Amino acid sequence: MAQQAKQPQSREALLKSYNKRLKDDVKSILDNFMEIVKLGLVEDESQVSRMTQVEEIHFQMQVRSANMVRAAESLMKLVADVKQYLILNDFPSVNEAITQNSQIFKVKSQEADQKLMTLRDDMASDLYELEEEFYSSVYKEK
Amino acid sequence: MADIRLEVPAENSVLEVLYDGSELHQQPPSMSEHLTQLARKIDFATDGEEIKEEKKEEEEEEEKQPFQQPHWPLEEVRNKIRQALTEVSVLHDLLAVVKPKPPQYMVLDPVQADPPEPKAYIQFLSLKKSLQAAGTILLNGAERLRTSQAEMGRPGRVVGQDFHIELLRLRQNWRLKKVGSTILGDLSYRSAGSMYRHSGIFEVSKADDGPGGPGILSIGSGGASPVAPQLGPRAIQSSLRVTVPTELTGSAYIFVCIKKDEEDICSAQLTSSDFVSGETHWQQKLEKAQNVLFCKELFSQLAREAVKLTPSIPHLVVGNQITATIFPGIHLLVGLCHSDGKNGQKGGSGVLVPGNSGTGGVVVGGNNHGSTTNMAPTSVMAGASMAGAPGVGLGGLGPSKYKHEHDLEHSLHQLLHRVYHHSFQHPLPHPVYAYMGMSKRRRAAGPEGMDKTQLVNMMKEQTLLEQIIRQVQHNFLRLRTMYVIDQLAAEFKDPLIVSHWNAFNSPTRSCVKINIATQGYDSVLRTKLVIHISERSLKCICRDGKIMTMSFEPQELRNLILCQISQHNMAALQCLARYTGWTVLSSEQNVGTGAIEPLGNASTVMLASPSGNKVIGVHSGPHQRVSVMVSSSPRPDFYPSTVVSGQRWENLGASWQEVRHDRMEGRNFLNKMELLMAALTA
Amino acid sequence: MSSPMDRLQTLDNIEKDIATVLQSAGHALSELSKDKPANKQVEGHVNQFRQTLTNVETELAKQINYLTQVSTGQAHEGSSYNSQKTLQMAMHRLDHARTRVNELDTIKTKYIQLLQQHQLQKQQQGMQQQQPSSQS
Repeated sequence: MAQQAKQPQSREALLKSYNKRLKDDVKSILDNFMEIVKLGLVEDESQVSRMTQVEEIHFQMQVRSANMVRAAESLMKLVADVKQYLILNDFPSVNEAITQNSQIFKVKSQEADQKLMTLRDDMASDLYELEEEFYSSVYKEK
Repeated sequence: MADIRLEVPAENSVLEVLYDGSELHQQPPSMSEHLTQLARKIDFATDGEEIKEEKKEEEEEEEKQPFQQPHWPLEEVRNKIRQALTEVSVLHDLLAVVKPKPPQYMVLDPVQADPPEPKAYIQFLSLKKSLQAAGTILLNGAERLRTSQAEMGRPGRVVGQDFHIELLRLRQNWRLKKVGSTILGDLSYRSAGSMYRHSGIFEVSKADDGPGGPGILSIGSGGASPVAPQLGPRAIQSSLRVTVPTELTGSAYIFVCIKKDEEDICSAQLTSSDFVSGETHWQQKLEKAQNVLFCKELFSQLAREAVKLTPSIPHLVVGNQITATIFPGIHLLVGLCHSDGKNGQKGGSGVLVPGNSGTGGVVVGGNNHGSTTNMAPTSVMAGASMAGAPGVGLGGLGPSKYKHEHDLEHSLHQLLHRVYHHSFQHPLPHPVYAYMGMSKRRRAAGPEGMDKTQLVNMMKEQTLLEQIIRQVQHNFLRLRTMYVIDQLAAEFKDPLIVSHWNAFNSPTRSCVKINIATQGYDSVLRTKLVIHISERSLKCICRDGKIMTMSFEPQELRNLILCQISQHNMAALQCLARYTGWTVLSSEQNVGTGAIEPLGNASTVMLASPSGNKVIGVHSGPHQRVSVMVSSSPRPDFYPSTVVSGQRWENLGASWQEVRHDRMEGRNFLNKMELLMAALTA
Repeated sequence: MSSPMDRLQTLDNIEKDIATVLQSAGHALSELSKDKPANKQVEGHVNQFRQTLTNVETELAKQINYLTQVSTGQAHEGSSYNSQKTLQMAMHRLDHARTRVNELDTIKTKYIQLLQQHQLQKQQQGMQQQQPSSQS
């Protein structure tokens, strides 16, 4: 019972985590992009010298764009996770898959049995005639 | 004129309302408080004159009421001035230290002036470069993402289709669930109604391009499963890999065979010719593993029942084989044949040498109720072979010696499957508020008035082993009956034995119709019988209504048919006589005179010719065939004597003369009789 | 819409869109970094970036929303193994029937061959008999 109570909790937690990841990643991409664009403003030097400032801006831009790429890849992973989760846990489709499969298998096995029955009937009639032929003749091997 | 009162609204706000309705007002600020507030509003930066004035006032106030408040109203002012004083004195000290011309303790260095601001163009350029760098990083990342995505969708790649699509297909057919970070699946039949303990969990993982990648190898010869689509000989590797538990790898089947009594009761080496490579498609792997699980469950169920049941001859469970006795001298051998497929065709786990199987052997009971002599020797032999007979190379009998019965294996599978089915399917309750699962017969027990023994019998169910033993018994009996009938048919040409087997039968009952007719004289008479074959007995129903029950011994059936043949001959002769105009003088089906027949009874018929002067007498027995005697009416050797004087007494029949009908012409007995009759009439 | 293949397709599209997001952002920045930045293009790229990003977010949120409505924590307790087993047994029956019929077929061919041989022998004997009789 504790596990059942835990299960929906962990499921809720999982889905919440997906949502959170989505929001975080999208926010990260957007923010980083905004920051990069903001850094592109030409402004007066503040406290450090020119070269340092330049280097710092360069580095910051690199880091921010790398951040964006990371966030995008994390989004891809999220999509893959969602796909997997969807495949495994989507109850209506699992249900439907099971019923569909059962139906198909049942139909197929019935068909196979049907064919066997017709075969059996044919063979039975042939057998009757063959038996007549065989047993009515005097030439039989022991 | 009304009085108008003027009341100044309360200037002081209400702090608290007491319980008796009186209000506590906030006291108006006292003089010193008010002064403090004003002092705080003073801005010392603007004008210094006001400070001085106020300072005087404050000092006066302060002297008046020095103890009323802990802090002066001008405390802050004083603090600020003191701080300024401190700083100025510090500066003064510093200057004093620095002042001596030859530097003694401290030197002041001038600070360079800032360089003039260069043009912002360099920054602009650098910004552009950084932007470009950032842009390239982003584009590279995008490229990477795109290529990785495109690779997934390209068909014909070695790793095959998308992992997710494969996973979807896997889930379509199998039960999957996710535990932690791994995907596990369940291939046991528990969801279908089985009670077996094995969990049957398999693991699904992504397949890397492992060492087996480029080598295109053929899928194992297990053949395409009916469920999965057919895969061509060019194996498309999938991006899923499935790991089945080690005890379920390979493939297995249940080996069933019937064998006659031999010296070694329990030794056979069962090998399986099914080859499961490591690279087979997951669908086939899973199906085979499921099959292995099913076979294991089936075998364990049978073994358990074999140990639990106590028939008169105990069943034998040795390692992976169960030996049960069907008829005395005939044994049923059921074995589990499981090959791991690691080293190709590894021998199945059925290698037993009677002497060495001390651990696995279980001889049930030792209840030798030994009622017949047949049974005792076999169980004694079992005991001896278990006890420690030297393991004389008896382990090498291959399966070719034992013919595997596919239909019996199939029956076993069906029986277990039926068990699963029944564990889930319950008949609906009638009426709706009754108990679930009451069968129709049980429902009718009340109205039918069944007593306790009947109810108990109804509730008893037969175990799997009992059911399969019944089926095997019936199977064997049917084959034996066929054999007996065919042998008799080949032996006897005189009346022909025609047997027609019924096309509708159940696993435990069959039916055969036998016609006995003489060739050429089918219209005269056909003797018909129906034989119902059940598990251990035969029931024969003749056309005239006689019912005979026989045991499983083949001799009894043979005797029966021989009797029927002889009676057929007699009956046919009578019918023939009707056609030819001869009169039947007497006919006895079971004569009580003459020599005793070893089996059955002899029968006789006496026929008189139409003119009455010839009489034929036929005596037929199942054992000693037919004897025909003829007598003609006017005695050739009649001489009137003193006792018998009249001439008419010569008309009494003469002595009987035997006809050697085996030297006569004629195809069969009836033909010969017909010719005889014709000859005698003429 | 609710077929799992459709959903997987939508998720694939989302993946493509993510790549597009990065790509348009990269294009925008490279456009800006050129000597003569074409403002319109930059505008266009940035718009595309923003649009695709919002698209990605809404779609993915939709999918996750669907999942919250529809998914369970527990695995499904049923399976199609029952009917699968029935089908396998039916196939087994068919195979068995096929092997038996094949056996009959081989017996038949064997006997036909025997018969032909026998007839051939008879013919030869007949011819041999004819020849001596014609000779004599």
